[in-house]
This record gives sequence, structure tokens and C-alpha cells, in this order.
Amino acid sequence: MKQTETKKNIPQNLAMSKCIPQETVIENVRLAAAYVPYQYICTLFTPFEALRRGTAFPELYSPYKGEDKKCRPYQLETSKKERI
Amino acid sequence: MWTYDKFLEYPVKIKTPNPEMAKIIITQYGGPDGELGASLRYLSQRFSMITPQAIATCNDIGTEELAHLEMVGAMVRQLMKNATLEEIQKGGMGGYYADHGRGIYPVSASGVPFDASYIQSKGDPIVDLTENLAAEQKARATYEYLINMADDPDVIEPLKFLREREVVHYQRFGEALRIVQDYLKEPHLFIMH
Amino acid sequence: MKNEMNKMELLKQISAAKFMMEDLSLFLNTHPTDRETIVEYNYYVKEWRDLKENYEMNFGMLSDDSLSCYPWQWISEPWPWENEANFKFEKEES
Repeated sequence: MKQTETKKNIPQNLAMSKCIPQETVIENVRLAAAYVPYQYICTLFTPFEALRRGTAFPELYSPYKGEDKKCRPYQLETSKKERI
Repeated sequence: MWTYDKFLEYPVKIKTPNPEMAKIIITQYGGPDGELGASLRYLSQRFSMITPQAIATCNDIGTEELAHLEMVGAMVRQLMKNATLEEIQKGGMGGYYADHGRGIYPVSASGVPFDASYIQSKGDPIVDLTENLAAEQKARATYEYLINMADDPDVIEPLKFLREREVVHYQRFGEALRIVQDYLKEPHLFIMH
Repeated sequence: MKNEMNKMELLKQISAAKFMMEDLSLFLNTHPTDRETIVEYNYYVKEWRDLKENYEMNFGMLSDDSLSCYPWQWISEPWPWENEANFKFEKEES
């Protein structure tokens, strides 16, 4: 089994650009088990922004635009429409 | 036990009645992947959950889902309250109106009443947390389908909020599963600071 | 009219503070040793308490631990699921 190093948690007083808000490597993984990476805090939205978006954490914000009602699914595929 | 705060978690302010939307949004009230199921699931599982982190997660997310249930009920109510009978019939809510008027009752989008078999509480922490991960994805997908079919921004905004909460909940249950898995693997290494 | 605007504005801030508490608290449930986040959480608890006190002094009860004047305020309308009880986000916000 390949051994991998867990990336160290980056302290928050470093420049924001160096702060990675999640685990990027998981060590000692076993078979037949599911792994969701841990989240780490870097920055927070302001309260209004957070309430508006549905989360205080930028790294968990997952905007959804919705599907065009008039498009056929195969058209969406071929025109490579972004589904964000 | 629970306290009640007299405001919604996210505001629901719908100007235009729309029974057609109400008919599908109600699935998040009483349907298979809705908030009633979610809250009952997590609040039932917490009794047999292990590790303080996972128990708290089931307890608190279960509680938040009750707030979401309230939001969905508010949406359906506001979509139905001032609808004309003609609008109700055109929107396919004639059957619902016959049984429940403009009131709120837990059914799915196809009118099937809420059923406890939508949830599982197996008493096994790995099973239960895995079930919860699936539940959050189902709820997220359902909100996406609802958003796809909606036009009114007053309706879309709360749906987007609720969808985002499912994404966050998935992350939390995922972390809880990691914690429980680590605990069961090597309990003697499990140290609470 | 002005009173109504203040009520909604205050409710908006209260909802936002409560939401920060909620999301941070879920995070802390799986990250109980994150010291800075506990500080952040406690900050929003204090915000929430101050805003709530302000609201309750002027506009009525908000929770089942609020004080009431005469007559019993808890039953006052509108209830949260009614259109009139909810504020609207302005387009500029976030």
C-alpha cells in the first residue's frame, strides 16, 4: 500500500493566497471505506454574503445557474454549455 | 429539546401565486428526499450514533432540517394562498385542493403521502452516516430540478439557499464519517483534546 | 412606515448573525479544536444577543425566552411563514 504524507494544516497568519481550505492528501486509506476531505478555515463571507449564498465558507459555495428550459439535453452537450 | 425563533432561516417573500410550482415544491415537504424525511432521519439516528462529533452533527443538522421544512411549507403556502381556483385547477393542484384546500400536507410531487420508509436509521453508525451522505445528494439534486423548473426569482432564491445547505451538510456528514471510521479503526489512538 | 423599515432592517441583521452562528457551529461540531473559529462563533453569539435585545425592546418577542409587554406578545402577527413577516434582499447586497 502506498504511504502518503498528510499535508500540514497551514496556520492562518500566513498570506491568504497560501491558505488551502481543505485536506489535499489523505493518508492510510483503507479499502471499502469512503473518504471526504476535511475542510480547513481560511476566510469567511460577511454575514449578509453568507446568508445570501447559503454558507459562511467560500470553499463550500457552489453556485447553480439552472438548466435552460428550451434546450434539449443533447444540445447542451454539443454546445458545451457551462452548467454552473 | 427545542427552542423556536420567530423568523425563517432564509426569507420567503413570494408575490405571485403559482399552484403549478407549489405542486412540485411540496415534494421537499413530504416527498422521499424532502426535509421532513431528513429531519426525522437524523434526529432518529442520533440516539445510536457514536463519537461526540457525529452525534452533535446528527443532532444539529436534524434541527436545521426542521427550519428548512418550515421554509418549504412557507413557500407552498405563499404560492397557494392567493391563487384562484382556476389557477389551482390549471396548475394540477385540483386533487390536492379537494383533500387539503389551500393548506399544507406532507405529500410528494405526485401526491404520495409521507412515508417513514423514505428514511433509514440502522443503528449502525457507518450505515447511518453513509445513508445521510446519499440523502444530502438526493436533496441537492431535487432542489436543482426545482430550480430548473422555476422562473420567479422570489422562488428561486430560497431554493438556491436550500440547495447550498445540502452541499454543506454533505461535507459535515463526510467529516463525521471520517471521524467515526478513524475511531472504529483504532480506538486507542482516538484522543479528544 | 419608518418603524417598519427599521424592524425589517434589524431582522435582516439578526438573520445574518444567526446564520453565521449556525454554519460555524456545524463546522465546530467536526472541528472541536479549532481555536480561532470558536472565537469567531462567540463573536456572532454576542452580536445575535445584542441585536435580539434591541429588536425585542422595540418590536416584540423573537424567541420563547423573550420578555413580553401587555398583552401577551408571542401570539402577535404576522407569523414567519407569511409574506409580510419577511424582508427582501436588495440587489446590491453581496
